[in-house]
Amino acid sequence: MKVKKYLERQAEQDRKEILSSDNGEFLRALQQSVQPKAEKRRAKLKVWLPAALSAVAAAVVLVTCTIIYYPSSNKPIEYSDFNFVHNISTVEAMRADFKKFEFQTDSSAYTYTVKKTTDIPTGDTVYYAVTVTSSDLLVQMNIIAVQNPNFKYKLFEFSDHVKSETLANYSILYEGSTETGTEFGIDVFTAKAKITREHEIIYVTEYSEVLLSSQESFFEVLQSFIK
Amino acid sequence: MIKFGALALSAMLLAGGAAGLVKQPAQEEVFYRDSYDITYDESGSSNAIIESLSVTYSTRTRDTYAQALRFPTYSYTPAASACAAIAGANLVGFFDRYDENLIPNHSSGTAVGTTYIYSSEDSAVQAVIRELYSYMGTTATGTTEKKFKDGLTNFCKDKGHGITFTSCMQGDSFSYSLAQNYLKQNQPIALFLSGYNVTTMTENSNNDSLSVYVSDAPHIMIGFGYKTYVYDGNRVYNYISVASGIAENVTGLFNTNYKTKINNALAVKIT
Repeated sequence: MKVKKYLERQAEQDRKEILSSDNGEFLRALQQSVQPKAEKRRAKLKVWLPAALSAVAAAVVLVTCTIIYYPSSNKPIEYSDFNFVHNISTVEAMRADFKKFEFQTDSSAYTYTVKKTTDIPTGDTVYYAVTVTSSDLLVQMNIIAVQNPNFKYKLFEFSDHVKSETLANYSILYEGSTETGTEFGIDVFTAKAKITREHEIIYVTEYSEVLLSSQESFFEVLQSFIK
Repeated sequence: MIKFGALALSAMLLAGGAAGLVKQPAQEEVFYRDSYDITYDESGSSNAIIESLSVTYSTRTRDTYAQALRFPTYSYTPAASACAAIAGANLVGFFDRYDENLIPNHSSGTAVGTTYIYSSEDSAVQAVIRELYSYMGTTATGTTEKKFKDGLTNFCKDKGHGITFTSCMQGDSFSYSLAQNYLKQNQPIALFLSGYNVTTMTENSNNDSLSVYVSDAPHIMIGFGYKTYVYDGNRVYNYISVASGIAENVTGLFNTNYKTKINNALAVKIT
C-alpha cells in the first residue's frame, strides 16, 4: 500500500516535470504518436466516406437508368386509343406517309373520305381510315391503312374461309360472300381483305357491293384505289 | 384536476387527429347506375377486342328486317368522346331522306328497288356531327342520355322539326319485341349501353362464323333493323343491325344478350 502510493506520487511528479520542461511539447508529441489508429481512420473516413457514398449513389442511378432505358428502348411503343384523335385528312396526305403503297383516285367514279388517326402524346400517325364510295352508291369500301411500324392493328381477323389471290401489283388475303335474296330481293356481296408490304398493311374491314345485274367487282375496285 | 383536464384534452385531440387520418369516401367516388348519370364516351374502342366464335347447327331459321339496304354509318370523331354526336348524326342522316334540309348540302342517298341506300359520310355530315357535339354539351368524358336527347331535340327544333323518343324497355329490361315493332314503323332505335358488341356474321353450312368486336365501355349505337337467328329450334340469337359509330367497325349486328347492359333503348322519330 505504501509502495503503491509512493509510485503514484512519483508518477505524478514525473508528469509535472515533463509537462513543464518543454511546455508539454514532448507529451503532446507522445500523445500524437500513439493517437489511436481509429482517430486516423475516422479522419480518413470523413474524407473518403462521402466520396464513396456519392460514387455508390451515382452507380445506382446509372444502373437504374440503364435498366429502365434499355428494356424500354427495345420494347415497341404501345399506343392506347384513349390518346387517339381522328382528323379529317386527304388521299394526298396518305400518299406522303406511305412508301410501299400508291393510292390513286378517280373522282368521276368514286368519292373518298379520309380520316387520319394520331396519337396525342407522341404525335405519331397511327393509321388512316378511308371510305371509298362509288358515285352510284352501290359500292362502299372501308379501309384501315397502317404505315406505322410500331402500331399493331388488332381489330381484324379472318375466319377459316380466308383465301389468297395474286393481283397485278400485290397479293392479298381475303374472304367474301354473297348474301342472295335479301328481304329486298337484291343480292349483296361483302368481303374483307388484307394486303401487306413489309410494315405497311392495308386492311379492307368492309367491302359491300349491291349486285343489281352484274357480278361483283371487288378486285377491280380495290385496284382502282390501291396500287 | 388540471392534470386530468390536460389528459382529457390530449385524448380528445388525439382522437380528432386520428379521425382526420381515416379516409372519408369523396362524393365524386359515388357511382350512380341510373342511365341519366352514365356518361357515354367514345373511348369504347380502348378496351376493345375481337372474339372469334362459331355456331354449329343442324337447322337454322332467320327472321330479318332492315329499314334500308344500307343505312347511315357515320364515324367521324371531331373531338374526344363523340359517340353521342355520331349516333345523333346517324339518326339525322336517316331522316334527311324525308327532309334534305336536315343536313344541308348533302344528298341523303338513292332509292334502289323497294329500298334505299344511304350516302356515306361527307363534309356536310361531319359538320352536323360537330354541331351535335356542341348541342349535346359533350366534354372529353362524353355526355349523358339526357343531354343526348335534349341536344337532339334542340337541333331538330332549330331545323323546324320535332322529335319523339319512345321507350323499348319493359321495366329495367330491354324488350326485343318492342324494338322490332318500332323498327317496322320506320323508327330507328337509340341504344344506351354499358359494354357492347358488334358482330360480323359469315353464314356457312352447318357452322356460322362470328367475328365479334367487344368493348366494355359505355356507348351509344343506333339500330336500323333486326336479325333473329334460331338454331336447331331452340337456340335463339337476337341481333339489332347497328351503325356502331366506331371507325374500325362501322356496321354489324349487336347481340342484345352478349356482354352488354342495355341501360335504355329509345325508338326515335324526327317529325
